[in-house]
Amino acid sequence: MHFSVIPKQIKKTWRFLQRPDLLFYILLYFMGLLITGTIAQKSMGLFPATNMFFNSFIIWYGILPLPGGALVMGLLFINLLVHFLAKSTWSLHSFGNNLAHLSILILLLGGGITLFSKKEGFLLLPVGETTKNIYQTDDKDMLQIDSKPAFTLPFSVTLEQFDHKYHTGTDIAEYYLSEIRIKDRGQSWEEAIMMNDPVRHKGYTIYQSSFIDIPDKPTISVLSVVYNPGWLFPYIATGLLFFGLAFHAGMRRYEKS
Amino acid sequence: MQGCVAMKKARLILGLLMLLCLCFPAHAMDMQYFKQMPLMHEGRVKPLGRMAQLTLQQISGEKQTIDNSTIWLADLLFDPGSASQPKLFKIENRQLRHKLALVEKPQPNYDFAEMNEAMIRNADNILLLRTKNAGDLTKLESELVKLYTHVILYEQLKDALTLILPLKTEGNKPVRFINLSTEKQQQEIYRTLLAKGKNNVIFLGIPKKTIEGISWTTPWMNYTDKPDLLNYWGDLADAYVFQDAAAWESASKNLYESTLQNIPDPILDLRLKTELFYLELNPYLISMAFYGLGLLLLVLKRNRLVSPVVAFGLVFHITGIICRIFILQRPPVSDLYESLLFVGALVVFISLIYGWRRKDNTALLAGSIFGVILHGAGFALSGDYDTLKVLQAVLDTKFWLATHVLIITAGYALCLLTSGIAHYCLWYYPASRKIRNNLYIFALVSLVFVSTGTLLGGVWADQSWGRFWGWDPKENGALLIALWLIWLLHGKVSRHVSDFFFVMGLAGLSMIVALSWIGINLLGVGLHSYGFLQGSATTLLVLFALESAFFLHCWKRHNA
Repeated sequence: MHFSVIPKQIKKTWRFLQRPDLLFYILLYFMGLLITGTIAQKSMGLFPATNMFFNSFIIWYGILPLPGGALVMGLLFINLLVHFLAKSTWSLHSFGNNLAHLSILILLLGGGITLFSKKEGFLLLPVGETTKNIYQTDDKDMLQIDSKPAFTLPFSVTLEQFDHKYHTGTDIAEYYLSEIRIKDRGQSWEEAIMMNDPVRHKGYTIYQSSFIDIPDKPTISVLSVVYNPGWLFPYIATGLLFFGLAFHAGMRRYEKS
Repeated sequence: MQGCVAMKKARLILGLLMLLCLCFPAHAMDMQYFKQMPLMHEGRVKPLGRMAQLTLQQISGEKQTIDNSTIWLADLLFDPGSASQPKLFKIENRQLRHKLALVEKPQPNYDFAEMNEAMIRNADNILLLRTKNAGDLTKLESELVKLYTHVILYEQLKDALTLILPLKTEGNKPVRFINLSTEKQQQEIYRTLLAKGKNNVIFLGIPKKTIEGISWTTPWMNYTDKPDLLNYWGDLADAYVFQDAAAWESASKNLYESTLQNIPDPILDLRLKTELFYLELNPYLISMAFYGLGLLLLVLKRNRLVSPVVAFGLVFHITGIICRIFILQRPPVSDLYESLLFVGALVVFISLIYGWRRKDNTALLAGSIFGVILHGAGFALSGDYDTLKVLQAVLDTKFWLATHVLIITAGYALCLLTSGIAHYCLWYYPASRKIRNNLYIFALVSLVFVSTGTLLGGVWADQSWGRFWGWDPKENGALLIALWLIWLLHGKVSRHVSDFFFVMGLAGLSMIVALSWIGINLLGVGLHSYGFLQGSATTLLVLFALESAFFLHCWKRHNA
């Protein structure tokens, strides 16, 4: 199909979506949203405010619908993508710039995948017990262990041992350690979960969140579980963004001199 | 005749000096080894002198030197009876004095005996208050609980060494509790000593090797084991009680070396010495003074002297940071206080390099101003508490501290410098064209560091918590800086913002950084809400008002 037969309306929309002033105004709105949503976290709490301002498509201000964070970032993605495809010139001069823009596209794409497919919750494991059940917190950020599990893992986890230590003479945690056993399709193996050192299996990340110490009962280790198919995108984006921006700044400096 | 007058004056001065020496006699005991003695305190091995200083500051509420605090602690440990005399407890709240039924005095200072009686009188009330959450207490109740913890702290230190103190002498030989027969230990007076000592958890001065590593114990925890170190503490106590300076010197040296032998850390000796050197030098006060001097020289247009003076200040600033890295054995940025030190040093360093390469002192002006301001904020934040802190488990990762935190703080430093230069450009607009041309590259490099640092923080969060982004206030603050820069840079390229507005936007970057870096802590929510700075809300408001007035003035002048 020749380009000239594309309906005028589509061409117009295509051109509109490339416009740099779209980015200018979206970013301005995004900054306002960011400040409002962050301040609202103080009164509303972290999770309700995050869901209302940043994870939503529409924010209802009375009867007035306003774009939510998800919609704003979606528009940002489309604007960037169309501009990237239609306007990018690939030369040494613009290489770094293009790379930086590509990294933001990857980041936003990853964010979108995460928003639509992420599952998260908590595993509550007393020492010696096995479970697959994952529980979630309610609107008040309280863990609902008496209700039905939010979802189940495709493997089981047993807490073999739990250990924690405070820095001597303080209540500052020095380390937490949960030694777990994973059983999956007849195979079984041991793993250790520590702060900054989670266990990943089948796309699920299990990391140390907290613990509950009840006198005369086994300690309960609270492990957080996240299933996030978009987890790799930010890693790629971070590398590309650094190289892209550094290259761009270097080129600007070189061309200027 | 004149010679005679000079002689009289010289004699008078000499006489006054001798009188001064009599008024302030040097302490007979050499405290060098004792001051350096390793102790476990608040999760970290530190020199006894520092522990003494922190404790005395905590109890008295006043700044103290390490030397004076060491002598105070020696008196309290080895001569607990007479050491109860100083009136350390200062209670300024009249209502609290009334509640405790304390005698009113011209100066509201009380000694341990008076405080102890007051605490016993109010024991039931205090015990009840200690079961409540800190947030549920009134101001008066909080002060009472705080006072109680100070009295307990004092009492614990007073009883820390009673196990090995000479109780009396039989012949020439001192009799200690630890050497008494079990039967004698059952006497009432000794039973009280034992009960108090067994509850003692403050003075962790005896390291013991265990399977899991080194375990720090108090002398009373070694009541049955009686390790060699306990005897060495006993020798030290004898020397102090009998005021034998030579014996004290040899006993303190012996105890220090024997304690070090029990700890498998080959650089501990150097770390303890470095910590005392760092604290006694007070390098940031010196660097702040030199940055201030640099500013003065800039005002006086002594331009050639500015760089060397500021660079000299930076040497002390960096020496301080290097000392911290060596003492704590980790990267120097783990909390708000440390980030203030690090960002301050970076701002000054980059401005020096820029000034040296461009033969232009504009950046140095901005660097020195931020150097002084950030030092000031650091002093306000540090207060009388130990700023050399142990790390929370989640922060205990040298890799991420050395990557994410260093990069993001370098981003803050670059943003502040960019903002400082933009202020200069705005004030002299449009004459500041030469330096204004460099603002774009400054903004771009700031963006490289801020955005990379922010994303690396997300990667760290993914490693620690399994999620890249949680819209935590601190994350949002960092994102706001990046968005502001992206918005201005894109606006400049697409000509949505004029050159004047671009410069003004970059000048406003310092406000965005202040909001993101310090202001966000005022919300008190999220995983990063550490380092709450009391009074910082007012400071931020004043800063914002001043900045707004400055921008308004420049805007009006520009449009005139």
